[in-house]
Amino acid sequence: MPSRAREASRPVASRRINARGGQGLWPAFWLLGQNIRTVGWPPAASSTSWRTKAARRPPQLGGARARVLGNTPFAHVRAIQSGTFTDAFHTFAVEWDSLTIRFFVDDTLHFRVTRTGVETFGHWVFDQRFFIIVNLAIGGHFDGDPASDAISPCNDARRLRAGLSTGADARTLEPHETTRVRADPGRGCRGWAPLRFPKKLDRIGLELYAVRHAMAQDPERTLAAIRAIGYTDVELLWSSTISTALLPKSPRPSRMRVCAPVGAHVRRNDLRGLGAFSRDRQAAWPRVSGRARFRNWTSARSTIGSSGPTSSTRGRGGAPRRHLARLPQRVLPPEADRREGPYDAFIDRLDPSVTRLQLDVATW
Amino acid sequence: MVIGGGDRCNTSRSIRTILAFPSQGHRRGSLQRYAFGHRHLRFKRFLAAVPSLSSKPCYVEDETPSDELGAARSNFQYLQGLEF
Repeated sequence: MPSRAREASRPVASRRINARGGQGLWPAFWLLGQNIRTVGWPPAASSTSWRTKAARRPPQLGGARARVLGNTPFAHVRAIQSGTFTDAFHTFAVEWDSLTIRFFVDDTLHFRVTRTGVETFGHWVFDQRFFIIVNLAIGGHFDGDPASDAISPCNDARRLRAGLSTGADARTLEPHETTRVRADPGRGCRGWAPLRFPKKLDRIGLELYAVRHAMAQDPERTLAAIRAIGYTDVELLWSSTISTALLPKSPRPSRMRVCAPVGAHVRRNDLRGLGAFSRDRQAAWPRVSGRARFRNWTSARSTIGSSGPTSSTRGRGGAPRRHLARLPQRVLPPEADRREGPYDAFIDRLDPSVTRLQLDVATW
Repeated sequence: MVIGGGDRCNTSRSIRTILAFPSQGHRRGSLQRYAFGHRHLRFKRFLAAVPSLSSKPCYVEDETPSDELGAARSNFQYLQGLEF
């Protein structure tokens, strides 16, 4: 077990493997999704029903191949620096989180597959439990058929030796033996532990209001700096100072998704008296825009164009706020009896196809 | 965690598109800027409870930074490093 993997909090599956060589022998280290029985073998599954994963790294004589099965083309071969993988034990590891899968050989990063890349070909299915399978296949397309009976595992049960955790624990697998264990994050393969699949935010955007002064001085350089930091999205937060100043002038960043303006900050009290709890008053929604609190919605619509209505009503005293972009053009039938509060009832009655809801999470 | 009489974690399930992380709070009647992760909100616990998070773009909302790009960088690094 590599020390790096042992210290990681994300799931790691690793095996120390010493594979005896020979034409046609295919020692492999697999991670196979536990839903294999319901979704079938990955290569046989259609792209829509592809829900399992298998990753393998068969140590060959001089190279190891990492691959993500399913309808994906991700495969990568790495040659060993000197000697062969049959000379001694080597540690093969797969480490993954919600965004990436990393393949290691002897604690050295060997191959990396990103969630974005996988989702180009199908669903991301790596947030489940896996079987670890260490086996030795014979023949097939990968390395061809054995050239001699002399290398048959029946003649040498030590063709594949898998270490459970350390060299001292290494034991010989019988030719017919396949081990199935659960990946054990952070503790090697010594014991059993609940799997934890840490997730990370994969899209982080910045409201340009946060850099309004820099934008006013040099929009292009500022956007380039934001891209360099790593932000994938920017939002043109509407305000009296930035919307009219930036929207007409600032070109859309070429490599960033732009969420154009924003909407209304609505606080709890704003919703009271607007009929949010009354089916009968839903028809009165168009008149809501005429109320003083929401007057900016209609005026901003003409200013910003199709980007939607805006209001600057703000919560105070720690009251949570939500941005509401684009007025609900069609109010969904209320889901009665799910009224935990004004917001919940309000949200339930919005049409998600025309309404963008934003939850401010850090003001709590 | 009560919002409008309900549970905010439940409410987060209704938020279908976007989450925002303001680095500014209201305290004693005035706006106060703070660094992520230093208030009582447990980011990791909250984000772990949000369903379909990958389809909900998350935005940094920082209204009063003294060093705009520096704050943008530190805020990004904090959010990027979150594992939940």
